[in-house]
Amino acid sequence: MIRLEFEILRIGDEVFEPPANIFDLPEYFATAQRRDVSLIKAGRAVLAARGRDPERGEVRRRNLEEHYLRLDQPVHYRMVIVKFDPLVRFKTGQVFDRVEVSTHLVEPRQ
Amino acid sequence: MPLFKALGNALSLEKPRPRWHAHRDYARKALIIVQCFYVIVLLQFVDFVSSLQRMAAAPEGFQPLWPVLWVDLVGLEVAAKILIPAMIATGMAAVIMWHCFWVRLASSILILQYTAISNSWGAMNHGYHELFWISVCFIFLPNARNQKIISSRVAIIQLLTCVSAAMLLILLFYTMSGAYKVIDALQMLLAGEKGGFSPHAMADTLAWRLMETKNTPIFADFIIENPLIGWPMFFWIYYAELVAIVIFFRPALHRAWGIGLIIFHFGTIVFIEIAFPLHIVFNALLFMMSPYHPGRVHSKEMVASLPILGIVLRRGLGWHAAPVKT
Repeated sequence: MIRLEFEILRIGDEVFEPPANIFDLPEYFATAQRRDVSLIKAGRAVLAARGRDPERGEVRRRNLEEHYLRLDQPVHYRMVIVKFDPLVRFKTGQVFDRVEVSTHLVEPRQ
Repeated sequence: MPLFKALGNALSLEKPRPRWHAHRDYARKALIIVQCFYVIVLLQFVDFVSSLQRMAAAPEGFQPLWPVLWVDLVGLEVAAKILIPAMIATGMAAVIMWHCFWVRLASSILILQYTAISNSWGAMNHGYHELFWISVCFIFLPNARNQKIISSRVAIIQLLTCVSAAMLLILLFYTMSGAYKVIDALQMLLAGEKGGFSPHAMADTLAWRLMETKNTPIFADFIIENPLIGWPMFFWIYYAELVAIVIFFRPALHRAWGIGLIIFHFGTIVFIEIAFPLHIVFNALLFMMSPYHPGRVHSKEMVASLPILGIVLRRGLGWHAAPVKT
C-alpha cells in the first residue's frame, strides 16, 4: 500500500522527535481526525495538482493548511509518501519505503 | 423506448407481459416511497441547517465549487442566512406539498447548494449524492395528489418511471463503485501486488484504518488476527456492487439486495467507522420496500436469479429463476 501522510515536526516551541503523524495529535488537529478521509483526499489533490500546474498545487496546499493545519501557533509539517504492508506495519511498525515530498510552515491564525 | 425495452428484455430472465391492473398496486407502494423521501429531506435539512451555521462561523479555507460560486460574492455568512430559512420552509412544504413541481425543484436545488458548500473545503465526499440524485428524479413526478395519480394511467406510468429511475440510478452508483474496485484489484493482481482479491484484503484495510484513526472498532482486531475470515465478505461486496445494476431487472432480488447493501454499510461502520446513514435509509426505502417485489419468492428461484452465479444453476442444474411480472 502506498499512502500520503502528514508528519508534524513542530508546533510552536514543541518539537516532535521523531515527527508525529497528524492523526496522533487529535488534541491539536481535531478537524483532521474528524474528517480523516477528506484530509487524505485533499492531500492527494495537492500532489495531483502540483504535477499539472505548480501554482494551482500551491493554492490547494494553502487551502488544505487553512482547513486542517492552521492553529494559534506556527506549525511545521512535512508531507511524505509511505510504502508499507498494512498488517506488517500494524504489528511491527515496519515500512518498506518512505519518500519526503515537501516541508512547510503554517503561520498562526491572526 | 424500444431500445430500453430491448435492454430490459435482454437483462430479464423472461419476456415480461404488461399487467396494467397490477400497476395501481405498484403506484400505491411508490407513493409511500415518495412521501417517505420528502420526510427524509426535511430531517436532512435539520442537519444541514446546523452544519451551515458551523461552517459560516469558520469560513477559512472555503473554496466554492461551481454550484455555489455566488457564495463568494456575498460571503458564507450571508449565504447561510439565505439558505437556512429557505431550507426550513421548503423542507416543511415538501412533506405536504410534494405534488407541487416548484417545491420539489426547490428541494433539489437546496440539496445541491448544501452538498456543494459542504464539499468546498478541498475534498469531495459523497454522503449526500444519492439524496441529491433521487431528488432530481422526483422533480419529474406527476403534479397531482395521490387519488388523482391512482386514477390516471398516464400519471401512474409517470410516477413509476420516476421511482424506477431513482432505483436504477442508485444501483448504477453501486455498480460503478464495484467496477472501480474490481479494475483496481485486477491491476494490483497483474502487477503482483496485494490488492482487493488478496485473501488479506479486508484485514489490510482494517489495519490501515486503525493506524490512521487510532480508533479500535470492536470487531476489527478479530479480522486482523484472522484475515481469511474477511476474505469471503470482501469478495461478496465486490460481486454485490458490480452486478447491482442488473438487480433492477430482477424484482425478486430487490429486497435481498437492499438487505445485502445495508449490511455492507453497517459493516463499514462496524469495521472502519465510515458511516453513510442516508445510503442505508435509501436502500431500505427503494429496495426493501420496492414496489416491484413480488412478495413471497421461493429461495431456489431467488438463487437461480442471481446474476452470473445463477447461470450455472439455470444451465447446469435446470433450476428456474423467479418469474418477472410487470
